Amino acid sequence: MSTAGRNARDLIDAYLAELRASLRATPAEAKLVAAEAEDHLLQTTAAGLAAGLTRREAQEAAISAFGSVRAVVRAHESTPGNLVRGRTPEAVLGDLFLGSWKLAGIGLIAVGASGLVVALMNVMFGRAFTGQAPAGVTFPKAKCAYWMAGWPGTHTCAVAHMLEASSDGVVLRIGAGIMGLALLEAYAIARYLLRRRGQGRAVPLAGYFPVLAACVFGAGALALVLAQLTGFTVTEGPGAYLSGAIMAALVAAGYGVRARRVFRHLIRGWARYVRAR
Amino acid sequence: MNKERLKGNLDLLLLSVLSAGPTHGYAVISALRDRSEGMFDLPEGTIYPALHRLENSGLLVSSWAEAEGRQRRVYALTDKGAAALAAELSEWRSFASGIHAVVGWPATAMLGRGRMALGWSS
Repeated sequence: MSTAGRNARDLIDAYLAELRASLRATPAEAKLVAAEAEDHLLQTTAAGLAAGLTRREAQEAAISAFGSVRAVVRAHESTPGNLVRGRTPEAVLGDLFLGSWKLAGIGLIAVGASGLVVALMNVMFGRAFTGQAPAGVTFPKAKCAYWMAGWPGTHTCAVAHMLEASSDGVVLRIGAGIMGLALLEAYAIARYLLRRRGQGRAVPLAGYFPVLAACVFGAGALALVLAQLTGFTVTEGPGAYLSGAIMAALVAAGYGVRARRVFRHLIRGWARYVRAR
Repeated sequence: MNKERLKGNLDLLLLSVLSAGPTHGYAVISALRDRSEGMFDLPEGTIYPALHRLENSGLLVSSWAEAEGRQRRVYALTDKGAAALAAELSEWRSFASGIHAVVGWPATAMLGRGRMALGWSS
């Protein structure tokens, strides 16, 4: 937006209005952040005026030194808040509920994406890679009959199970992914309704959501790899767990990158705690 | 100066400035810039989240006061913050002393002068 026609006061007002609108915080939190920013900008402007700048130049310099709205918002969003202090129990529980909801949605979408990986593995390495049970695994007769009825032309339970498992690995997982998309859509609607009720656009779990997601998905990837390596509960081909581990590791890595500042903050806090003891 | 290096030491710098007594964000940021002779010049608006983070960690406490007809947030060091500052200062001094012992070693300095004399400076 051009600021050519604005008077000097408008520059700071416009900046603060943009800051308030961009912050993912409750209206009360955004008001406090904006009040602090306003005080800072007016003090910097006063210093500029004292140094001989015109009012307009002083306000432009103050805004430039304060940083772009984007940079300031990013700095606030990458700074974790306090999950409990200064909040009502309802707000904390609501935050935990919404955080879990979002995590479940993303988890189901990751499962759906792993179904696409299974489909790719089926094409590249054959269905046995994702569906074939390890040697020695046996199945109840009733299940064998069910699978063989579903796959006419198969003569052994092992083959019918392999076809069933490699197919389910794609279809059921993609179904879960679609459910995840619906869950995230409902989550977005819930957040929108809360915002309309004046309960703000608070960052999920006070900024700790990326840390939680990185840990949960990282642990999931590790558990799948360990289960495959030890053979624990494995009744399908290596691609079944491997596809899940790949997606979980990718999601964990993505959230790990987003959470790196919060991780740094947590490590620093932990180091302080250890030193204090 | 490398911004990441500065951010890694921001807590120490902020706690150190506030050890002189309670003050508001603008004064903290001005002190950072002035004492470092402009070397520590991060976008000013990005310092406030760091102050909030220190407050959330219990190292600072803030209160609002009326000044020049508007609200002003004043930060003060807590006992926990003073203890954290002492620990971080001690760690920083050990680190700086170790660095100085390596880069200030006479042979290193002589080698550097020799490289420069031969035009090998990088």
